[in-house]
Amino acid sequence: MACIPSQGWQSWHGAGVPATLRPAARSAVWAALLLGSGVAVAAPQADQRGFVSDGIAGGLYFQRCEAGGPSARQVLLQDKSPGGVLTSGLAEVRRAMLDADRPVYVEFRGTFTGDQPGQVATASQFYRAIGHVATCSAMPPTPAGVRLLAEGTQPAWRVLATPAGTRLERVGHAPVQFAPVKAPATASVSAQAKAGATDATAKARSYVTAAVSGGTRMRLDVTEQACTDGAAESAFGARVVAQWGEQRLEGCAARF
Amino acid sequence: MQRRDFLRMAAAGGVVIPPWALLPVAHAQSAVYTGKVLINIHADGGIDQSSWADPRETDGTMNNYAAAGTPAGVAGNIRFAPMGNNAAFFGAHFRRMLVINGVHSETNDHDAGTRAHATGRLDMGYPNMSELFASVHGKGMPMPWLASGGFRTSAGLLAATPMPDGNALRALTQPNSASATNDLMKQADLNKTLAARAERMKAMQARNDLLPRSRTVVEQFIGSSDSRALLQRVAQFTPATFDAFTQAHVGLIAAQAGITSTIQLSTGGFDGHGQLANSYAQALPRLTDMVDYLWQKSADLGISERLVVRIYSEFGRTPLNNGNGKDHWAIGTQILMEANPAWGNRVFGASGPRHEQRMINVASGAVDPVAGKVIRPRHIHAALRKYLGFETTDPRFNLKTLPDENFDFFNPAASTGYPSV
Repeated sequence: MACIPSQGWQSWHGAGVPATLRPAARSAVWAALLLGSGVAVAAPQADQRGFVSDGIAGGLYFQRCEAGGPSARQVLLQDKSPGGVLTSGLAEVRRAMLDADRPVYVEFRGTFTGDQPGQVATASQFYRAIGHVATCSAMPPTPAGVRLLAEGTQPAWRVLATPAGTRLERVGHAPVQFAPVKAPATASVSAQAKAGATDATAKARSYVTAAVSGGTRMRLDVTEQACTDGAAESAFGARVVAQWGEQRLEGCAARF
Repeated sequence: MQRRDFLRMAAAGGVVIPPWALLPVAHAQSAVYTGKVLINIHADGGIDQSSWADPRETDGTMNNYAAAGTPAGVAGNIRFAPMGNNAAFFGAHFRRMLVINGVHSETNDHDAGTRAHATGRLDMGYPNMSELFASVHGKGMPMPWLASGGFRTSAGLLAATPMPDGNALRALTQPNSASATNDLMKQADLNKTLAARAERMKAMQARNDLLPRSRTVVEQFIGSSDSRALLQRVAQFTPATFDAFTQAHVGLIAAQAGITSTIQLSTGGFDGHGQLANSYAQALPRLTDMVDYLWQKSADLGISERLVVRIYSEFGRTPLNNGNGKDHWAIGTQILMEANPAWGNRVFGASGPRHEQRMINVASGAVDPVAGKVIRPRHIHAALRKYLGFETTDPRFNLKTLPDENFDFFNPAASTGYPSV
């Protein structure tokens, strides 16, 4: 089993695993349990970051960004994101970007077995693709334990939620701190129920968080559907609306 | 030089020679081009107008320099961002400039924006301004449209000649040169050989018993001697070493030698989605130093009066984003330059406080929300075609603009200034 370094999202989903176990030990325990029970070992779901290029006959190839830079190998990428939103997002980014023939930077949740026979990566949830990121060293920082990352433009804003708290950043304003968001309830909604939704089973979830200083709370409605920003050469896997007092901020989410 | 050698040299240098360059030219010297040389410079990536000639200096969400309280620079009637070498550049050249602000690219995509500003049309199939100009003013020249970047897709009028580097230019025009100082063989010996060959070809031409195919070859060889002479003419202008802006230098030499009418250059680094100030610290001086070089070198070569320079980009950019960069924005800036123009030191057109689109009066240049029009690339193209005399009635290309959209860019009395500052 591949041992992927534990990241925030992975840790957050690690319920049931003794917290005292390190990731490697935890993986080994899982592998032993599964092998012992005769069940085939499945690659673990984890956040993946790297570059996707077009192969022949419509295939996609993924080259993962690792600690020392890009992986030496490209593996076939299977897009199993809802509605193939990763593939359509890539196309949108390519349409707007400079040097549209070069690999596109992507982030997704899925499996990676590049170090095993059959080498393949599978994307089950698309986070984002960014056309203007050309190297692994230039990939955007993702804070440890990030639970929700959403951003928008005109004016530029960003919401970053970690277990330590939630922060709203707006260009030209001081950041506003909120309490940590709680795990939301997920529901399927119809296209009619969510403005702009195109797939009938788009997953929607809402987060509500109170301001640390006792001010107005913020509500974040996230809908898992394609969200593109051609001006920023970016595509995302979710649409987000942040409501804070009288302010309504619309944008896209890169972690949700 | 053998025709075969000539073509081999050209191919080795990656140079495309249009077919008419090898056909007879009645009088070589009369074919030397002495008219206006159009230089199109593509600031590749989408130059931020706020970092260029449409600055915003009070809103900290627009620019880092505004947030730091640094005012915009002023040169004559032109304001510029206090970044890179802008102060020196605009200070030296503002009298040569017409700044056109608020130009709507009609797209946020790089490819489409590049095409829109090169051809004046968002749709495909229209000729690049360089191609159209060269097809009118450069027909019959060996390299009428020299291009080192930017949009090079031909609409069928003529093909761009990839800009040769210094070595390729030397190999093309002086095929006996091994380097700037050494010849492949003794030139005196080569001259004797060439003279003998010329005599032989003339003798063959005079014969009556040549087969048709052989006669065609002989006549084409003799007929192309004038074009070869034009290329060899470049040799007398070719220096031992080339300047740092080699592509610009080669283009100017070709213009000086009279073998080109259009030069297309490109310089990149303007797609500043993140930490724009850092990337522009290199990109802006690269652009301004290159344009400054063009004017200084052309003055040294005695051809500065012949240049018309257009600096354009795919589009403009937004206010600052979360990454201290700027994203694509359809509204941007173009700059036209010429030596001592009556229309210099002026700004025509404008954008809003956050570079919103503004309607501009076509005659006065004033912001005119009622009767004004949006400035688009096609309007600048139409004005330049009229100004430089390369309007076309070619039925393949409907390049007309609406009668009430003929912006009077070159009217020295028409001026917009900076109403949003």
